Amino acid sequence: MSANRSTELPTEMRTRDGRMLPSDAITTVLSVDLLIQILDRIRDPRDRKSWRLVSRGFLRAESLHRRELRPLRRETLPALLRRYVALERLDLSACPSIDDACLAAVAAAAEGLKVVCLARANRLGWRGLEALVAACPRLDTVDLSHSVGVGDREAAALAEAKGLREIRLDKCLAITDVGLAKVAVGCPGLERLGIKWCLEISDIGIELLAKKCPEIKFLDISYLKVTNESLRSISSLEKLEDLYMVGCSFVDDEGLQLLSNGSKSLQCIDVSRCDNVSSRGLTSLVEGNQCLQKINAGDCFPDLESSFLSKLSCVKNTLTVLKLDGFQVSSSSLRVIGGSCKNLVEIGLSKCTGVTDESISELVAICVDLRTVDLTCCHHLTDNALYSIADNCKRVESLLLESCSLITEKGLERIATCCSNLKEIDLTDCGVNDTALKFLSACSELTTLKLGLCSDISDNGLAHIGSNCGELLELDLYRCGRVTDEGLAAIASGCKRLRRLNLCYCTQITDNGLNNLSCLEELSDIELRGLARITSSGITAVAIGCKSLVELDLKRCYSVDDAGLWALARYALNLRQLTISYCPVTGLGLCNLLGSLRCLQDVKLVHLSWVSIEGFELALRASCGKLKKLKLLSGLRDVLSSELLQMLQTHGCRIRWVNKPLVFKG
Amino acid sequence: MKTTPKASMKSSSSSMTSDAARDVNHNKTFIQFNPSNVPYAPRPGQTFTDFSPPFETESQSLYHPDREVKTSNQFGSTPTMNSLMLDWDPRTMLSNLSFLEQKIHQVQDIVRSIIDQEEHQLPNRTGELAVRQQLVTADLTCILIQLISTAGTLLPSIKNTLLSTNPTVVQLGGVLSAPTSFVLNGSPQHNEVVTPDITKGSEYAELMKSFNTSSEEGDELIKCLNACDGEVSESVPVEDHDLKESDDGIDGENLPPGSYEVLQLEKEEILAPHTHFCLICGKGFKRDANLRMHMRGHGDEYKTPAALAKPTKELNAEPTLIRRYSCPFLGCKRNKEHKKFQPLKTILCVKNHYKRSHCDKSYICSRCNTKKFSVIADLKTHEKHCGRDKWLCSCGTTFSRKDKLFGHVALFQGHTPAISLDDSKVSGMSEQAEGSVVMSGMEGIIGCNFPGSTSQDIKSLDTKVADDSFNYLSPMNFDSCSFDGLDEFSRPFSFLPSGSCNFGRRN
Repeated sequence: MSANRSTELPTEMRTRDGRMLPSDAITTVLSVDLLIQILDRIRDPRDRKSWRLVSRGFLRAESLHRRELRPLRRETLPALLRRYVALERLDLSACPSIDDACLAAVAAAAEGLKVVCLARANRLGWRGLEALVAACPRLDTVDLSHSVGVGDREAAALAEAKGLREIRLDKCLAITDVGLAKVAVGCPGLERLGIKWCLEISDIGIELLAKKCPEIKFLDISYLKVTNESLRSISSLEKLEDLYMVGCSFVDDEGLQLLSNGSKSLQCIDVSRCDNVSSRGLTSLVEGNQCLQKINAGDCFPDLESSFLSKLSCVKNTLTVLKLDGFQVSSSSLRVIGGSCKNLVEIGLSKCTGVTDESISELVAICVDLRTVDLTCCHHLTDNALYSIADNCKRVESLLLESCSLITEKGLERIATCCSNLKEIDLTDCGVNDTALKFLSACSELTTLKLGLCSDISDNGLAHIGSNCGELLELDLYRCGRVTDEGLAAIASGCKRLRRLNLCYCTQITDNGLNNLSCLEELSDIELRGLARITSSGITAVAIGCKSLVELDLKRCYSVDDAGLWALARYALNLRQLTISYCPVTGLGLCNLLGSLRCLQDVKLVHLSWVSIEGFELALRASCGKLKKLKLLSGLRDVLSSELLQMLQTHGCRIRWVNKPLVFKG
Repeated sequence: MKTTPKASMKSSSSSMTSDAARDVNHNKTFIQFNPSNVPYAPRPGQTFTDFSPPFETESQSLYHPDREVKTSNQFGSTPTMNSLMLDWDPRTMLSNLSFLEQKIHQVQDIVRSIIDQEEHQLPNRTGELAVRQQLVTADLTCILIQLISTAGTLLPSIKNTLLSTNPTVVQLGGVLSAPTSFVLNGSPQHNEVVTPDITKGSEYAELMKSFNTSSEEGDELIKCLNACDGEVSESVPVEDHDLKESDDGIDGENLPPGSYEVLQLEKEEILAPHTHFCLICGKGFKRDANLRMHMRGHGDEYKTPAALAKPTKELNAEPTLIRRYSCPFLGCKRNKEHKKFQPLKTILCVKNHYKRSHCDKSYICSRCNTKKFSVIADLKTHEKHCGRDKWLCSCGTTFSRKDKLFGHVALFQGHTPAISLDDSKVSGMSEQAEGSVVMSGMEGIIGCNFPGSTSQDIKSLDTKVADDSFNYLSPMNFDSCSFDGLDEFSRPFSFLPSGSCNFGRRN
């Protein structure tokens, strides 16, 4: 990414650190057209931000050029929409409190919208959607996933947009067949539709959909209670390419047979967790669809029959992804898979029993193009498997080895030396040590590194990572008890782009470590569970420094008090998810926190023994109904006023009542 | 022509001896138009085997499964009868005969007692005499039926063993009239009946061909039989059969006129709550079984197992006359005077038909308040579906079932299912408002629950009121809500879901 930036931009344009600012003369000379052309080549949002700060001219050019927007808070919407007039893609998923009036106003301000994401907008109703559809004639894609309030009425309003080609309605629980029929009749050109978790939808609705929307290419019917009849209808879709039907328990082999009799255009199928599907159904599917590229059959049935494996040769030229999680895999079956599917790019063998070093070596000897290898919980694997992977699959990018406890640093050394493209490695519970990290640090492309439960890891290992893996985005150090502030300092100085960091139960970490982290501006998720030594001052440093903070877990941080909450309330404006269970905070701090943070959606407030009932009452009222999820002790259910609970419920907040004893650990 | 089933039964059985030709005709048609509508094909096949032994194996292989069904239907509805026919049991025969003997003795006793009374010149006993006479007739009928059924079970077994070899059986059949004659009379009918179905397969066609050639033989047999029976077989109207078989006994069966006995109950009889009346005291009962229980009180003779037994069982053993019913309403298609008369199959059909077509609809659905029924079962069926599942299309058509609506929507361009009003709760109709709609609906119902023509207007008015209030409370009225916040970005929106008005202000 950084390489791209430097080639595409003249050096004087590199403005991020501000020291290379060109003189004012140049900025005024460049016309808007030119600026826009330059902007076409700037992709990184940080660079864009720097661009905006150059001058008014640059800002204007950027506002004319900008097509996408993802506002983080609703309050900023008016100003943003006034500035960006040519928006086409608007993602409002970070402002879940958006309601009908707000959406109507947004739509009126941005008439050229094509793609709108309204995921998790649980206060949205049909009036807002109606206004959106009426105001934006070019609407193409609408995402309403997880908007639990969306039902048939809303679907009907949406269906007024005739030109819609993509609709996501995942987990819109109130949508029934009628709503689906509205969409099907209203949007005949629909190409992509997601109705995962819309549990009210039945075969009848699917049948109508298949009749009315012949253009469908992508369909997600996961977890629906549909039967083979639906697959019969779906098989009539001539252009269907991707079909996701995870957890459709009423579908069996007969349904897959029907599907294979239908159109031959299917490229990707996901039948994972379909309990009644067996080898026979998969065999017919493979026979019927010769251009299948992706098959996910995880957790369907335990036994992998040779009939299915031998039929895999039907799709040997096209198949690239094969996921067989939870199967009973023998060494011969992996050999057959390797022999049939030479072009495999991804293989998932998570939780498969019977996977051995020999079978892996036979597989990778043929499938040399593998990029993603998921071997989670294949307990019998040793370094030999890693040797064969490293020797054969030079282009491996993702290697998931959780709970492969027999592997050692020797195997990882080979991996690190041979697979320089490695981007993701999961070594959770593998018992690796600092030496292994030293080898792994050779993979400079590494973005995800998971080292949870590897208690041998210490600051030395992290120092290697920090010094070499500058691209690291995610680091998991769950229960790496030997890690101290120094290790964090090494990470913070080397991995500037880190976004997710898990430090749960790394009990040696103190405020100094958090102070070190505060230089990571892009850090969005921090988990600090059970760090008894950190105090409010460390939290304050994080809140001030990590401007992108979205998720914070402070459970059992016994030293974090109101001052920490004040800092969060003051600085962590984008905070969406917060756990402060067991923290010694008071009602005042809580009240201030919930009243100030406008983006907060999910709060866990278990065992806040310093907060009185009035404190809870006031704080929750102060949250203005923004909250979507709330975790409280069940004892509070009776003492909190029913009005308050009703208000929360009306605003779409789900409260999880937990009942567990107060036990102080650590 | 008001004839009770019992009376007709008597007449038919008594005419058996005097008017043999007509009787045979009746019995035969019963076989041909067996109400259970068993396919015809097997029957002729059977007769075919009877007079064409060389062909027997093939035809059996083809017809065997159906043949069993057929025969059981013919000579008794119970499988035991079937086995009787195939394997004649002398013990059953003996028990039947002894039963007959007993019965005859009973009748003898009664008649003797009557004679005794006459001899002693006892006055004031005319009523008792009439009762005794009735008893005698009833007993005689019973004896006749038993006799015929015994003979009926006997005959096929004779036929099976002898018919194919010994032509004298045909004569025997003639002597015994009914049961044998229809066995043979079926064969000419077969030619016409089955031929249209030949398309089924070449094997079948071949069989038919061979059958047709050999049927001359059968014709001879029939001629022989005809000689015995007189003009019996000529009168059989086989040509105008509708070959279509239908499970729906009422509309589907096309019995040729005259092939069945037509009964016409009077209006009072149809609408009467009771259908079984005690011949002694006149008390009415809904069920025959209850009547029989009641009869025990009238004397010891009704306490015998025979008198208490279900009469139909015995009747079934004997091929009874096919019986159909006519609606007493003149001009009705179900009335026998109608040109295209279509008879009703059972008394229950008569009752339901008469109530549905010619009576006031006095049962009103308490839910929708509009649908009326004259048969209470219809009302109950309707109430199961009324109101709850109203599937409405955008074109205004309503459906009782969702799949029907979706089929309709799939068929017509641009039609969509209308959002049902229950779903509109989401859009802000408070529970309170909904409750009041329900309440007003209830009032409407209460106001019009009295059947009668005068309340008609009030009723419709009430429902209208209910509808209006519903519209008033329906979410459509919330359309008028304006988007206050449209231009006011900067101030926080106070737009709250209408359901939350009560506590929204607290913020």
